[in-house]
Amino acid sequence: MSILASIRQFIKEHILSHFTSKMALIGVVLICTASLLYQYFRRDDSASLMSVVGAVIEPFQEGANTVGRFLFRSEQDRISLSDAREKIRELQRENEDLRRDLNDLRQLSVENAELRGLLHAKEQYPAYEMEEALIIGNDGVNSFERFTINKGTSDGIKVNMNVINAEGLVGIVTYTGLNYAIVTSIIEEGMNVSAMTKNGRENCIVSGDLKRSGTGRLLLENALIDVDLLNDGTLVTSNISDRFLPDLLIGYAVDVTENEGGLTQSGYVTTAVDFTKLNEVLVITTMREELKDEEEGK
Amino acid sequence: MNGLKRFLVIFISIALSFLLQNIVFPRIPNLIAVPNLMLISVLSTGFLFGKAYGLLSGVICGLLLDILGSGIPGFYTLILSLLGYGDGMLSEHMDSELIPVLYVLLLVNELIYHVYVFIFAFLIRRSYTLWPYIRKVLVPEVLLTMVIFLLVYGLLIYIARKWDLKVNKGEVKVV
Repeated sequence: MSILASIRQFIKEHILSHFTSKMALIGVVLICTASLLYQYFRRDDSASLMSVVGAVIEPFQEGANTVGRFLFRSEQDRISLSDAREKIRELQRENEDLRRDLNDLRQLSVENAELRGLLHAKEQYPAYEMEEALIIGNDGVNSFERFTINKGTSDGIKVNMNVINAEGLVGIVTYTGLNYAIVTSIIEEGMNVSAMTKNGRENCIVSGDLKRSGTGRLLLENALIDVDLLNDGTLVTSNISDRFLPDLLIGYAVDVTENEGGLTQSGYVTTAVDFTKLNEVLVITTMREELKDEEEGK
Repeated sequence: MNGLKRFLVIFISIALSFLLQNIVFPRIPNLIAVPNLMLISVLSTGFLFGKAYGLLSGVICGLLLDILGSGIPGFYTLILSLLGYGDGMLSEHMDSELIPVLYVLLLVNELIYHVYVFIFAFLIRRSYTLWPYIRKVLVPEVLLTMVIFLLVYGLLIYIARKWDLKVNKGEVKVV
């Protein structure tokens, strides 16, 4: 005991007497400031001393948590709640994946239907050779007045080739590049197609109209007054046209009225093709001139 | 043995404060804020036992908070040791022992503490604006802390008297 006492005496006289609380304060402040500055200017994210200490402390905190759980049952609920949230997040992620798969499949099925339609169209016009093409660009906002397809001169596409889809006449190729072509559709303003009624073979003119763009309607003009457009309203391309092949379906005459003078009648044509939903088209590589030549050759 | 007992008192009060602040209070459902028991401990010990003990408890509390709270060594240690030392110094030079005066001191402590935390922790990260911080953090915490403070301080004085410790401010007068 006397040794301990003498040690205490020694510490008191030689160390503690020189060590005031002010010095301690300055020391603490300096260390803390240095540490904070070091933390602030440290660029790398290597594990700090604190995280090491934290790893040592961790089990103690775990123990404290156990005590806390024992004391407060709600903590248990909170844990299970967080588990549940985790589960929900997981399921949401899975749901998203499934939805994406479903969308892909739906897209495939739509594509399938379109291709089937094209096949049907091909069978419908067996006399013509056709090239399938995909629409890759669109000039208009919503309807396809003028659009780009993914086939060009390298695939044998030429200007003035007719373009159809499963429903009917779409338009005509007006420009060709090496691997693309621009198609002007029959709803473009100023586009005139000579048409005829399917049964009576009566001629008239169908032209695109900017004012009716997007409504799926074209202007019908120059039909003689005695043509029965009510009962024979189905219009196909005429065989007197020098650009369009005959017998391609254009649409159906509606709202026909008698013109002044009582010689002709005019109205509108509802197109067979839905110009707001074009995706795949067929380019008829047989051209009107070739057909004419053939006919003349015969 | 007086010094050892003081150490013991400080240690127990800090340990209890820490347990309450970090383990018990956060688990009480629907509690708006957690009272700043560490600050109370530092203030009480500094005020009762002087600046050296205030500094000591400030360092211990700060280190605890740094390790388990901020993760930045020195952040809480700096402010809490300064506050503990300051409170101890004030108590040595102050004559008044009135409860309202203590409350004013606690309020000043809280304000300094929160200004420090706000400036360094939130302003640098630019994640908080001042008004939400005052409304959602500062005010509820100060109110709760003030309620708890009297209990802790009274308990410490009770223990000090029981153990016959010499304290700077032994008597507590309400008015």
